[in-house]
This record gives sequence, C-alpha cells and structure tokens, in this order.
Amino acid sequence: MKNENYTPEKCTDTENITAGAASEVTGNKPEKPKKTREERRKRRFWLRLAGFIAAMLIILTYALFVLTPKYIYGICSMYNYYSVPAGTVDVLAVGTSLTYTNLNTNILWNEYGIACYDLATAEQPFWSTYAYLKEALRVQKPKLVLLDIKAMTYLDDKVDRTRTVLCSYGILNPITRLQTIYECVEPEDFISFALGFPQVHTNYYKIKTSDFDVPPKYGNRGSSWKGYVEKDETAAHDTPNINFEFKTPNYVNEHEMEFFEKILQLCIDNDVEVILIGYPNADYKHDHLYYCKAFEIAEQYGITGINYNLPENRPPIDYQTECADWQHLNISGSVKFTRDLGEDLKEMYDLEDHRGDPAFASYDECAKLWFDRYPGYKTPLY
Amino acid sequence: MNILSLEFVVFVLATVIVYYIVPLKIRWCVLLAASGVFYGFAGWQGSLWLVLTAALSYGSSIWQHNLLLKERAAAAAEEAGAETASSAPAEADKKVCASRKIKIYRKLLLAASIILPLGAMAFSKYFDAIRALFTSSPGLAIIVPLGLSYFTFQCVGYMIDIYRGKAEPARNPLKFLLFASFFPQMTQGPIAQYTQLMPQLEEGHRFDPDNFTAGVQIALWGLFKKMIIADNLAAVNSAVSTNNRGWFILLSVIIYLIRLYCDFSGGMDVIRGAAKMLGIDMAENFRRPFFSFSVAEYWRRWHISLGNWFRNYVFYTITTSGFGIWLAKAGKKLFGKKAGRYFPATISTIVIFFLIGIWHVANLNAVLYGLYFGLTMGIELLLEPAFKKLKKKFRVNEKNVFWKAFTLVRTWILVLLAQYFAITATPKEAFGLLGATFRNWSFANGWAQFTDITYAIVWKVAGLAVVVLIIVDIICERKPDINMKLARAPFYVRWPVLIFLILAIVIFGCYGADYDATAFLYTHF
Repeated sequence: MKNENYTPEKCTDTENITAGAASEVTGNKPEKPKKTREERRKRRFWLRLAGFIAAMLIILTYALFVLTPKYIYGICSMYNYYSVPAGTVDVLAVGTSLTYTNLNTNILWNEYGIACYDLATAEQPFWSTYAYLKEALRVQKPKLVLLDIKAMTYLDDKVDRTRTVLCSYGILNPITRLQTIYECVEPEDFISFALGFPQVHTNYYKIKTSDFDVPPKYGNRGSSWKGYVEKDETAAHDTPNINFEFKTPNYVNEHEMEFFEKILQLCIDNDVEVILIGYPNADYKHDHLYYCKAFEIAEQYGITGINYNLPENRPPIDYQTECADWQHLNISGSVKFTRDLGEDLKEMYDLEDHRGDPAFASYDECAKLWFDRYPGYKTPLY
Repeated sequence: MNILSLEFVVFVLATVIVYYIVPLKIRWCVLLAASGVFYGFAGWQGSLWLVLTAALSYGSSIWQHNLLLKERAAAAAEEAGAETASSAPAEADKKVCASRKIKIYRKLLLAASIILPLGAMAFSKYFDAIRALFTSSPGLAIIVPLGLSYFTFQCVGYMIDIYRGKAEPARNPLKFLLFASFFPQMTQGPIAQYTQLMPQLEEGHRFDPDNFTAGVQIALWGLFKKMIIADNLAAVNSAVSTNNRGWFILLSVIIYLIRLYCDFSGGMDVIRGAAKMLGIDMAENFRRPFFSFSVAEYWRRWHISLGNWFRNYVFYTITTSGFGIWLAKAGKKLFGKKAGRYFPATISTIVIFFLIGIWHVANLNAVLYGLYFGLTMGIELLLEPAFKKLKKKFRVNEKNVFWKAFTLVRTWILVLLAQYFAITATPKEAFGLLGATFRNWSFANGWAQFTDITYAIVWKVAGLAVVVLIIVDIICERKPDINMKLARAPFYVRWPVLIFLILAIVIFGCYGADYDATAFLYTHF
C-alpha cells in the first residue's frame, strides 16, 4: 500500500511503523520499512570505511615495497621468478649464497640448453628454502630441484640476520610469507617482521628513485635475469683438506633437519625430482660431517646427490685463483663448476635442450646480457 | 600495555566493537571489563591498590553524604529552633552543638579519607628520594602503580566534591570503580572530575560515525606529535652540556620544551581519541600553550586538568579558609588595600606550584621549578594593579599586534627559564647551563652540532613536522572545533589528511627495533 503523500524528506520511523501496521490490517504484504536518514548515513560510513581501509592497504603495501631493501639475492630473485614464463623452468636451484654465486645459469643455458633458475638467499636456512620452494612449485613445475645442503651446517635455531628474513618479503603468497617469517624469527619479533614497517621504516633516508620501480631493476640485469649473481673478485685459498675418519657431527640443528626432510617430502609429494648438491667451497673441511649427515638422511628417501667437494667429484677449480672469498667461487670458478654440473645433469637426467625454442627466449636474452658483460667466458657452442 | 603499541590499537578496537554490540544499558560494564584487562597488564599489585583506593572513596563518600544530610537536617532544625530560642534557649544551644558536631565529624572523615590515599601516594613516590638525602643504602624500591596520581587525585577530588555537597555519591560501587579506573586516563591522565566523566561513562552511547572518525583523527594527530616530533627530538636533551655553544644550549632548551609538549599532548591525544571512539569526551589537557600571553595563561593551557584540580581543591581551600582570611588582612597591611587583596591568591599560587613541582619528581630542581612558576605568577598577581596603571598611563592597546607579540615572547622567555631546571638534575647544573647560554655564540660549523647528535635527515623530518604542528595549532587556535569539522567533511577532503598522517607516522615515526616505546616523559605519575 503506497502512501501517495509520501515524500522522502518527510519519512520518519513512525511513518514506517504505521505503514507496516496498516498493511498488516488490510492483509497485504507488509512493506519493507524505509531506511531512515541515520541508517543511510551509517551505511555510507561503513562503505567508506571499507573503501578507506582498502585504499590504505594498497598504499601501505607499496610503501613497504619501496622501503624494503632490494637485495639482489633472495628478494629480487623471488620477485623476478614470478615473471618467468610458465613452464620454462626445468631446473630449479634452491639454497644459500653458494647456489646463486656458483651455479651460473648462463653457462648451463649456453652450453647445455638447460633452463635453470637460481632461487636462493644469503645464509638461507632450510625453513626458508622450504617456503621458497613451496611458493616456487606453486608457480612453476620444474623437472628437477637442486638442493644446496650448506644449511645443514647452520647451528643457530633462529636467524638473527634481518637481511635473511626480509628476503622472504619477495614471496607474494601472504600465508607462505608469514609461515616463513614465523619459522625464521623469535616469537616476540614475529609481529614486527610480519608487518614489515617496524623493520624497514627507517630506510626512508636511503631510498633511491629506483626503489619505486615495480618490479625492481635487479641490479640492471634485466627482467630476463635467472638469479645468478656473479662475484668478480679473487681470494687465494688452499684446496680444502677433508678428514674422512668421522662421518657424523656431534650436533645437528633439529630445526634444520626437520625442514630438510620436509623439503625432500615436498618434492616427492609434488612429483619433482630432487638431488642434493654440495657446492664447492674453500672452507669445506668444517662442513664435511654435516654434508655426510644430509646424504645419509636423503638416502632414506631414496634421494641421491653430488658433493663437488669430494676429491672424486671436484671440478677443475684452482682454489688459488678461482675463489671470490672463503666460501664462494668467482666468475671463472663458477663457469668451471657449472660446466661440470651441466655434464653431470645431462648424464643423469633427461633434460631437454631448449636452445632455439621461442618459449625459452628469456634465457637467450639473459645469457646475451651476461656474455655482453663478460665476453671472455663465451664459448663457440653458443 | 603501552598506548603506542599495536596491542593497544587492537585492544581499543576490540573494546569499541564489543562496546557498540552489547545493549546500551550494560555498555559501562564493557568499559569496566576493558579497564580491568588494561590495568591487569600493569600487575596485580597496582590493581589491588586501585581497588582499595576506590573502595575507600566509595565507602567514605556514602558515609560523608549521610552525615551531610544529617547536618542539613540539624541546621534546618537549628533555624527552626532559633525562632523559638527566646522561649527555650538551652534547647536551642543543644541543637546548634549537634550541627557543629556533625560538621566536625565530616571534616575529620574527609581528612582521614583523603590523607590515607594521598599519604600512600606520597610515601610510594617520595620515600626513597627523601631517604636518599640521609643515607646511601638502597631504598625500598616500592612499586608505583600505573596512573597512581591520576586515580588518587580523582578519588580525592570526588570525596571533596561530596563533602562540599557538589556531587551525589555513586550508588553502584562497580560504576565508581569504573570512574576511578577508566583505562584511557590511566597512563597520562587527564584528571577527570566525577561530575564531568561519570555521567558519560554510565550513559552508554550509540555508535556515531562522526565521533568515531574524530576519535581516530585525534589519536593519529597524537601519534604524529609523539612519534615524529617528540621522539625524533629526544636525542638532543642527553647531548646538551655546558661545553656546548650558547645558542645551541638555548635551542636545546627550546627543543626540550617542544618535545615535552609533543610527548605529553601527543599521548593525551591518543587517549582522548580512544575515548572519543567510545563516544566519551575527555577533558582537554593542552590548549596550545605556546599561544599564551602570560605565564598564568600558559598554565591554564598546559596540563589543564592538573591545574584545575589544584585550583578546585587546594587553591580555593586555602583562600576560603580561616588562614586565607588572615592572609587577606595581612596582605592589606603589607601592600595596601588594592594589592593586598591579591595576597591570599599569591600565597596559594606559590603553594600550588610548589606542590606541582614536587608532583613531577622528588628532587630539588622540581621544587625550584615549581617555586619559580609560583613566584612569577604571584608577583604578576601582586603587581597587577601597578601594571594596569602603567598600561593606562602609556595608553597601551592590548589588542595591538606588537603588544601581543611582546607579551608572547615575554611568556616564552619566562617559561624557557624554568626549563633549565627541568632539563638538568641539580640546581648547580641548571645555573651552570643558564650561564653557559650567554657564552660562545659562534655559529661557525653550526650544523655539525646537530649532526654530531643524530642524522641530518632526522632533524629535517622533525623540523618539517614542527612546521606542520605550528600550522595546525594556528588553525586550531582560530577554529577550535576543526577536528569535528574534518570528521564531517567530504571524504575527498578527509582521506588525504588521514592518509598523510598514517604514512607519516608509519614511515617517519620512531618505533620498531631498538625503540623504547615506554619512554613517555609523563608516565609513572
């Protein structure tokens, strides 16, 4: 029943009630009471509040991105990973700085046609590796995962380096990112790292114009970059001596062990082959027992690997001239090691040679950019 | 729970949600529960102290009120008796005695009920400090409950109001407990009056978008002042010494005052904002004190609720007492009729500021700080008739811009002088620093004085924020209701302001790793 004299300005609560009551008497379907001005005002308020919160979240997310240090390893390699065309990563190398400095993806591509991506962070513990790998497998479906086992030597239960935790900000999936942070830091620091601003807001005075670029510039390596970070310096070291008498360390970090096994299980669950890689490093004598332990655990899962520090597997590296520091190889060392690795991978796995495939053009571009910078390492194979 | 912490933000939002969900009649229970949780975080000892103080005030106020009713009845009977006094004088005398006796009982009851909480407060605050004057052995290290002064002053004020018959006693002890413990005021005040706060607490409020928005705005503005200005400027105070150049010492004292203002008023704004979201208007504690044209006005704008409390419960008590009347007589004899009239007020002012001084901290500098302000205002009061004459003689127009500028600068200088006692630990240091202010005014390589203390960018950020503060304070001085106007403004006006504030706080504010969020200058009172 419509009230002909009704005007919206005159509508009050009493009118609504009387209109409803009248329709009840006549037996007609009761009219829905009209919203009062106050109710409309409140509704508008809630809508605007929701809009404001959404706008603020977008602004704050961007502000957090700008303020977060764009470490070329870890955070940038993760950001960049999302832009790699789907189905174009055959080999995924995960782990510590030994991965991104020693495994030269450009050599693997140039000489073997292997499409490999280095997704690693400096001093990355296994619980971070697990999160990176989980996220990486969500986005791509590699045929093979190369797992750096250096983290088995880390004895601290939590990471006390902000840098390592901040690298997880590159993981876009918020749940995985929070899980990583949760595993990385002490409980009392969790909120601070989860929100991000308490950790990075003081960087405002270090901000450069390039920090506003989305995605980041990746140290001018271009968006086709595949995660390899060269170390162009030399430090002389002796070839490491290894004591083969002992095979079990006195203490292994349980937390690292737990996530090492989780990584293996994750790969099995995702039907992705995984092999352990012991990257060559000058300081290996301290690591040998831990590497042995890792191989022992992996064996239980039917997983094998290659330890390039053992005399029988050592690539032809001159530790006097091809080390960048006490742990990492320099460019020359990484080229020699990667050639050795490429040979082994070709021999052990049925990895397709994608050179010339237009779908893998980003690897061509990446290699070209790199060889333009370091032409001395270019081989006639390319 | 620190009011700058994320926990506090979550706590306030949770309280706001629950408050507006439950029925109107029991909304005060939500406030009481929230206050209990908030205070519970500060430890059970403090909660016990608070409950005991509230229980004492509640019980004594009911007793006091009953006595007041009896006294009034007796007085009425006396009046009636006076009319028949001629017929039965002995009977009338008896009745007069009854009302006087009740008055004496009431006074004794009031004295006992306020001495107990005030004495306990004084003991906990000053015992160790006084003991340290005589012995070097370690003190008792008494745990001072959170907001001790604030809830003690509120309860004492309430009991005096009941004694004076200015308020009806609370009937519900839990409601009174809420008045004494209302969580936003526990960290920094304000010291609320029962008649102003209690009706708002028990009323229950319907959700009002404008109130909520205004509350958020005040709180954000408070965080801006505290986290960007006060905390970024904090480094300068620990760095200042007599070895610095004169201009730098003076600037440091100015910076200290700005920092103190931003620290305290910023915290207050966060508190007021939280209460405003619940629909409760808390008394304003700061009204742009740097726009004051006299020291007295400065103190009417600075820590207003503390000044009001002392004026209502100490100043009037002294001036209207027998002692006050005696002072008036003595003043007239000493300074003549006109100036003498101000003598009781002068003495009361000095006493009040002495108390305010030692309320801040138990040391000699605080005493001198208080006495300095007391004497300055006392002299201002005594000389007021003479000033009026002079102004008339020289035809001074008080609305003239130059006169206003002069009085403003004069007030600033007088206020700044006191800060030398606040910034140092002993009178010797204070006078030493004051003396050093007038030496070595070389400006060579002056910027290095600042960058030696902290990064240049921090100074620039704080400096820009102070400029924003000055602009906002000028706007607020002209339009005091600007906050509510902004809350009602179209979203395209309001949003940029809010986004600016949030981003500024999040990026330039001091928090996170290595930041001591508990470092409010005005906590532990």
